Amino acid sequence: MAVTRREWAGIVVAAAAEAAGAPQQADEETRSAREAMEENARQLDGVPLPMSAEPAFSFKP
Amino acid sequence: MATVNEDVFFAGIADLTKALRAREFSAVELAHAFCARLEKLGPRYNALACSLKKLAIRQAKNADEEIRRGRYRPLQGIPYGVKDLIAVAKYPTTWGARPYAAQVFEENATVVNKLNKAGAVCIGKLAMVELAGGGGYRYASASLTGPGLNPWDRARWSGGSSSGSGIAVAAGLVTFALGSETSGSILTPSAFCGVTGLRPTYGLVSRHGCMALSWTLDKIGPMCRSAEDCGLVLQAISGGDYEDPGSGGRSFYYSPRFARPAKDLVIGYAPADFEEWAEPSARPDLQGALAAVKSMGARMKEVELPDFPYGAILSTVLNGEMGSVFEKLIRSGRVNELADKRQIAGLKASLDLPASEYLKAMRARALVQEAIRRLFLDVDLLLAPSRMGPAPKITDRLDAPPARERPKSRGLNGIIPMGNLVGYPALSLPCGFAEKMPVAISFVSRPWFENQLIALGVEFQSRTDWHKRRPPAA
Repeated sequence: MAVTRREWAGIVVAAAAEAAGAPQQADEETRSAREAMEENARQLDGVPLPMSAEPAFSFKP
Repeated sequence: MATVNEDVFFAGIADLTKALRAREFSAVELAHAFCARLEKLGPRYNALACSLKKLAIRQAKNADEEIRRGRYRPLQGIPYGVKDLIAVAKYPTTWGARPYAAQVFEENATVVNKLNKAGAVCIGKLAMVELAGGGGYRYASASLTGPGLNPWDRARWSGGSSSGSGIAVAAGLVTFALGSETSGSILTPSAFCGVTGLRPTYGLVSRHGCMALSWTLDKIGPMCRSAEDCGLVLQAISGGDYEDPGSGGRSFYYSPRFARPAKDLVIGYAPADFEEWAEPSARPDLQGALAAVKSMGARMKEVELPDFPYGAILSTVLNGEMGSVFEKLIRSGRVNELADKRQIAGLKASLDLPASEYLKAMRARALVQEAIRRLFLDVDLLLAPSRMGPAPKITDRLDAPPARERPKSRGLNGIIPMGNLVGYPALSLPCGFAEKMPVAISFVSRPWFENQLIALGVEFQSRTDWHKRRPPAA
C-alpha cells in the first residue's frame, strides 16, 4: 500500500502529539495523586493528638 | 451420568451437601457442570482469571471416594473459587496485574489448604482489580482481565476489588468464593452483585499466601448465597496461623443457636443514612430493609459515628504500607504496565509519604479504636446501607465527586473505612433493588462477634428473599 507524503506527515504529527500528551497526562495524574495525599494530611492535622496517643502498631481489634 | 439442573447452580451449601450425600449426583458430575459453566460464562463477565478444572476433578474424585466410604467433611464436594490474590500451588496467581501475569507460587495459601481439608473443590481463580486497587483507580477497567461486568446488567460494574468473586457467586458460577478486604473490597462487590459477603474480624482468617496490600488492614472473607453459608465457610477458613503475623490466634465455630435473639439486641443506626445519604432510587428498598430489621424486635438506637476523617486516616495508613509492599515494582518502572493511570500515579506517590504522616495516621487510628470501642458499649451492632446506591456504569469515573449536596447529618457515613481501621467484622445482605440493580444493608459488630452477626443475617434472610433472586441473564 502506497502512503502519500501528506499521509506520512499526518501520521508523524499525530504520533508526536500523542508522545507529547502522554507525559503531560502522567504529570496530571501524579499531581492529582499528590494533592489527594496533601488533602489527607490536611484532614489529619485536624485530629487533636495527645502525646499519650501511641501508634496502633501491635494492631489487634 | 446424572444431569445437574439449573437450580443446582444457585443452591446453598446445605442443599448441595444433602444432594451429594444422597447420591443425587456425584461430586465429579457437579464439578464438571460448574467448571463448564464457569469457563463458558466467566469470560462473558470478565470474572475468570484461570480455570482449575483439572485440579477440581481430582479433588471431586477424592470427595466421591470419601462419601462412598461414609467419611464426611463439612464442605465436601462444594465448588468454590478464590480471588486471584490467593495462591493455589502451581497455578498462576496474577494479583490482577500485568507485571505479575506469569507469577506462580509453589505453595497454597493457608485458606486454600483449610478448604482442601474441609473437602471443598476449587474450580477457579477469580478476577480482581489490579493489586486490589490500592493506588486508587479511576475506571472499572483497572484489571488484567478488564472491567468486572455485573451479572444483573453487563453495562454496570461489579464493584471491586473482589470483582470476580462477587460476579461468580451472583451468576451461579461457583457456590461460594473467597474475597479480600482492605477497605470495602468484600462489602462493595457483594452489595453491587446481590450476594452475601462477610468481612471477618482482623486476624480471624490467615492471610499467609495472599497478596499483601496493607498488613494492618487486609482481611480474607467469604462471599456466598446466604448468611448461613458465610458461617459454614468462615468456620472452615478461620483459625490461628503462625505464618501470619496478624493472626489473632482464634478459631470460629458456627453455632448460631447460642447467639442472642434479635429482640435482645441494641442496633445503632442513623435515619439520615436511609433518608438523605442514600441515593433517591435506593431509598424505598433500603428503608424497607430498615423496617424489616425493626420488625425483628431489636431495640433500635439512633447514633452517629464519632467525628474523625476516617477516609484520610485509612488512605494514609494504606499509602504508607502499600508503598513499602510494592517499592520494588514502583522503582523498577514496571508499575507503568498497570492498566489504570490513576493507580500508577497513586502507587508512585505513595513512596513520597513522610514517615511522620504514617505515624500520625496510626496514632489517630488508636483514637478511633478507643472511640468506637466506647460507641459499642451502647450498641451491639451498627446498621447502614452497604453502599448508598446501585452499581455505577462501567464507563463512569469512580473517583468523581458526588453530584448531590452533602447531607447535614453525619450519620454513619464513613462506616467502611471506620470498620476497616478498627478491624471489626461486617456482613452485607442483599435487601432490594434500585434501577433494577441490587442494593444491600450491612451490619457491623464488635470483634469476634461473628456468630451474632451471622445469626442476625440468617434471621433477616428468613424474613426476606432478596438473597434468592437470580440475575436475568444467568
